[in-house]
Amino acid sequence: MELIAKTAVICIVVSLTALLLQRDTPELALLLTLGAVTVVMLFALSFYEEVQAIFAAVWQQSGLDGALFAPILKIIAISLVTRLGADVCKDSGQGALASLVDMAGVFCALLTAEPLFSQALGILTQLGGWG
Amino acid sequence: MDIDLIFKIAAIGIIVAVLNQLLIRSGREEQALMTTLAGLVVVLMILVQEISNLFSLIKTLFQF
Repeated sequence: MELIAKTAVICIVVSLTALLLQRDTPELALLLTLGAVTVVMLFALSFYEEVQAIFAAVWQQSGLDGALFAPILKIIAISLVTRLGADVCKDSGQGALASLVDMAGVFCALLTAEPLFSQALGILTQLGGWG
Repeated sequence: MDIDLIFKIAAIGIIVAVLNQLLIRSGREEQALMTTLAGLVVVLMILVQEISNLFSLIKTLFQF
């Protein structure tokens, strides 16, 4: 509750200040937004360890291999960074750069998920009797 | 949460915007541009450290 209340208040105050700055110095308005994103994300990630512990417990109960859990965590991180990077680029009016960030994020996520794909393919091959 | 950083950036932005307007109204456009650039560099220098901290935290938390 503390996280969402503080985040909402900070985002509203920063939005208002950014609107004020947008007219005369739009570049500083963008930097202010970027600063707020950084500060709020640092704060939000301080709660992440508890969430990860819950995920890990659920994963352990499911009986799946723990090594498969790491790529999922990495893809979550990649999607967070990609989304924020692309949105900051979009806010500054650079749609092409935002698309590039999205594309790089997709490639990184695919590369990270490669062990999962190969394992799934192996299971399918065994089931089908093609191996 | 480091809210001081946000207030610092907002204060620099408002001061730069006011100085910018004053200098433009008094016909010193090039000095206004220099002021904006100086503000931008100062804010960037503050922010780069925080962004670096954020990426380090993400790397540690998500086991990169």
